[in-house]
Amino acid sequence: MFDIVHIVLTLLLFLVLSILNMGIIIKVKAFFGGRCGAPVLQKMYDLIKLIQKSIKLSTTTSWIFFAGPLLALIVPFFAFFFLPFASIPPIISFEGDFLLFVYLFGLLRFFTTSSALDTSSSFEGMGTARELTFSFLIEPILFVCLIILAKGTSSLTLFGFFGYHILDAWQDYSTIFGIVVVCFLVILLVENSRIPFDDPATHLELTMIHEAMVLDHSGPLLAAILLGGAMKFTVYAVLIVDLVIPFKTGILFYDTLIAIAGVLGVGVIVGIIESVMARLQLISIKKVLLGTLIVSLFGIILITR
Amino acid sequence: MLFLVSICCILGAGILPFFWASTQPILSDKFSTTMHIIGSLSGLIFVFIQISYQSTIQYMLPLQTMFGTFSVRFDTMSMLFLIPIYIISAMSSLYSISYWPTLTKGLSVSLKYRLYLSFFTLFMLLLVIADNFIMFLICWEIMSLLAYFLITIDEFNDESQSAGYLYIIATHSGVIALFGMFAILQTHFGFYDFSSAIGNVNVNLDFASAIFLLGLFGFGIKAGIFPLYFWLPNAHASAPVAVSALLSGVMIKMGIYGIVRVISFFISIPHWWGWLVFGLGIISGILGVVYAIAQHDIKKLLAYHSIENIGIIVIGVGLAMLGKSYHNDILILFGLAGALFHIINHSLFKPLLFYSAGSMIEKYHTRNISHYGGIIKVQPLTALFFLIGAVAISGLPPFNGFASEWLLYLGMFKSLLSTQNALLPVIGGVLALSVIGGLALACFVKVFGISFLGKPRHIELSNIKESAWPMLLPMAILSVICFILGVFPFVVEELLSRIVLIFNHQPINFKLEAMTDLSYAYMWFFSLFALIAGILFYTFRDKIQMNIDTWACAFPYGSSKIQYTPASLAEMIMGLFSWTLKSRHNELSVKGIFVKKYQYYLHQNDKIIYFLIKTTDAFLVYASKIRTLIHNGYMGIYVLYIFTALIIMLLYVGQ
Repeated sequence: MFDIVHIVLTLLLFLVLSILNMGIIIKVKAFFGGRCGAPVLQKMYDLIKLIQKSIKLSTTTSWIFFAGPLLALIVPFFAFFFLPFASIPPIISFEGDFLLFVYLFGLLRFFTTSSALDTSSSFEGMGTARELTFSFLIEPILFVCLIILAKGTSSLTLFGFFGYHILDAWQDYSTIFGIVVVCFLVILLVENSRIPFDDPATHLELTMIHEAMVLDHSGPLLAAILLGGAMKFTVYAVLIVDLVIPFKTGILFYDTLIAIAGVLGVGVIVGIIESVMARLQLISIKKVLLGTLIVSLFGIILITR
Repeated sequence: MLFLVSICCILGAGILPFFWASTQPILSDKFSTTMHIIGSLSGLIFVFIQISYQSTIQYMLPLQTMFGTFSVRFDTMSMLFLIPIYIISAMSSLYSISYWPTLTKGLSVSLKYRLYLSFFTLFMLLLVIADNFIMFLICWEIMSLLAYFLITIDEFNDESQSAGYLYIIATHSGVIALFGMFAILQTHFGFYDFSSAIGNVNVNLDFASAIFLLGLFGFGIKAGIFPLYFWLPNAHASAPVAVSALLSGVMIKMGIYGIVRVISFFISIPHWWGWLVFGLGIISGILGVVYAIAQHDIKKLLAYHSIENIGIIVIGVGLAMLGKSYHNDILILFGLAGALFHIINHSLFKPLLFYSAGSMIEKYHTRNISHYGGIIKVQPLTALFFLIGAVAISGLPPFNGFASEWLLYLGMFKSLLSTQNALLPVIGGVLALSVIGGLALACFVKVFGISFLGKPRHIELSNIKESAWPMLLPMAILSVICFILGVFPFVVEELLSRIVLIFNHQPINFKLEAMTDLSYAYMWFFSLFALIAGILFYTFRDKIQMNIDTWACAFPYGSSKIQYTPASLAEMIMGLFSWTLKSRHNELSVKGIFVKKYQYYLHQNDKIIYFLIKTTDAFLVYASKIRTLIHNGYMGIYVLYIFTALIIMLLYVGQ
């Protein structure tokens, strides 16, 4: 009985953190811009407003158009089942679960891009082409990081990567794990379409990546995508926090507090990055990603030493 | 016994139309298909019974040659390859009821078609159970010839004739190598059949590497490994769809079958063999998918994906070989099991994709996907089945493509933890698989999005209806099998690990029991999916209004030509791989202030085939130049040759 309550509470906490994180990024950006900014819970007000609207569909669309938002909502939520949060073990854990974790996001990408093409809009085609290219460049980086983690912690589950061995692994391979953290941060920024790789708040459809793909989603569908995006951000943030904060006090309450602070801290860092950097040119994104891949390969060379 | 029944039924499916088809064409088509399906079903029952009894049957046929007695042998590996042959040939036969009806295609052509189809199936069946080398070669040769007849069945189509010509050249170069390989095995080692050679060939003897290389060449041409795949895209593209499905789903796997059999002859394996196979697998995997993205011809694109998937399979085989030479049991087990599982999976989803592509080509009479668009509105079932095939081939959960790739990944990650020396193949393999996975996803988003979604680009859709049930039923069956194998992959674990024993000759300490966890995770996923989707649908079903046009930046939506084309969708990725492509583009120059017409063509093609054909061409031209020195057409010179020959003979006799 305790277990079920536990799981439900963790999932609720996850949802709250996702919504909070988006608000915090906006707050940090506003602070840097010298404004007071929207309230931290603004995202939730937006969602509530969107849910009350009706779903306007283009006559071109088919049932595929619903698959994208639906999976956008489900996949990040389900992906959280695999992650240890604070000292709470994950709900599902088995050998090779990280592969399922990665490929579920692939499934999500397949249907997001397909539902973008479903509208026959040329902007959404543009967004699709960009999303496909950048995500294909991300994939090898992620796998190299996973190789490093598997080798460093001698385990094959996400719980094993971030669970009990992680502190020892940090002592042995601190430089390499530093590289992994940097790579994870790049992956987080690209996958969640943040500046410097993509700017969802830009005024021109031509320069967007992810945002261009959801131009035609309205009302509850858009709400699903926004909430899904926030959850995806938090999933990656939890990944980074699990890696960066290997210390466990042993007391559930304190551990949870530390992890919450960590996840919100990732939001603050992303907000700072967004405030102090300009958007990269589309052409140079490829170069940055290939550079990150090379950096991550150095990590592998170091770990075999 | 059941096996004989299945062979007789499949034989009947080819021969019986000769008696009936002229009088009752529709009935004879259906009867032929029924015979084929009965044959396949009895064959499948036989296979499953044998698998569950774990028995190996061996028969000597009453036919003695100077190369040993003809014999057949049913071992676990044959059983594994029998399954796709039975399933896909039955599906192709079912598909042909409405794809190749005797009424519209003409009597003689469809008689030939059904005859070839049944014999093609038959000789593939005999091929995988043949034990004697010479019987294997005879079946191999007949199978290759029947494939040629099936590719070139349309006598008036220049494209298929030239593709068939290239195919017959390729396959015969392969057969020469195979003759050489079996000749060495017989003369130097004294083996006349597979069962006596398995595990008995010593690598350190002379000619061992020659056997391996000849086998890799001969079987590699059939399998379509880089750079021997040059016949494959054209042959798959211009054959009838039901035949392409058989070629891509089953026939090219015979090459892999041969390679695995040849490798299992050897007790130990030198390191460089494994590295060679592994490297070729990586190159064919990546290049296959890159060329697939560049293609706009849907059947050629699927053919290039066959090369990609053969690449993945060969990566698995290469890992197993490396595992054997570095004594790493995990790599052997997971590499070979993943490869064999991927063989089964690919032989399910590739025919599925070919059938659904055929269902479009039938209606629109073009294979160019940039002419399609919006087909999901008129052919919803075809679209659904194509989508399932596309998700499966991109290696995404919860379909079977993911299960086999997962097995390969898991093997590589597991071996990472056990020993130090497995690191390099692991990095190479993991990176290659992840790149292939990302590109395959991009490619199938492109195909599915461009052809099924959006608005029709060039073709009016108003008169088009969904295909007939004989075309839809095979797709439905294959989709269901893809899904079941994806969600419950552990049903094949036992079978796969038994085949690995044939390959390894000795028991392996590890067991293949990882895939039940995957099903458990899927159960969570499906219940979550059903819950959330149900709640959302129930809440919002009244709020859906479908009455607006697509957002076009505050302008009215113009012509459907403003949509992204396949070339523009692929342009960014192709930019990264431009060094492997031979691209040609021309642009109509823009004149005046108000541009009336603008055209832009982009053709990107395979640089490797181009290079191969160009070098062969240059060589042949050079050779013919030397030939013209002798054969120069002057009467006097020819008379001189005759005189010279006569004088030499006289001198010889006079001695």
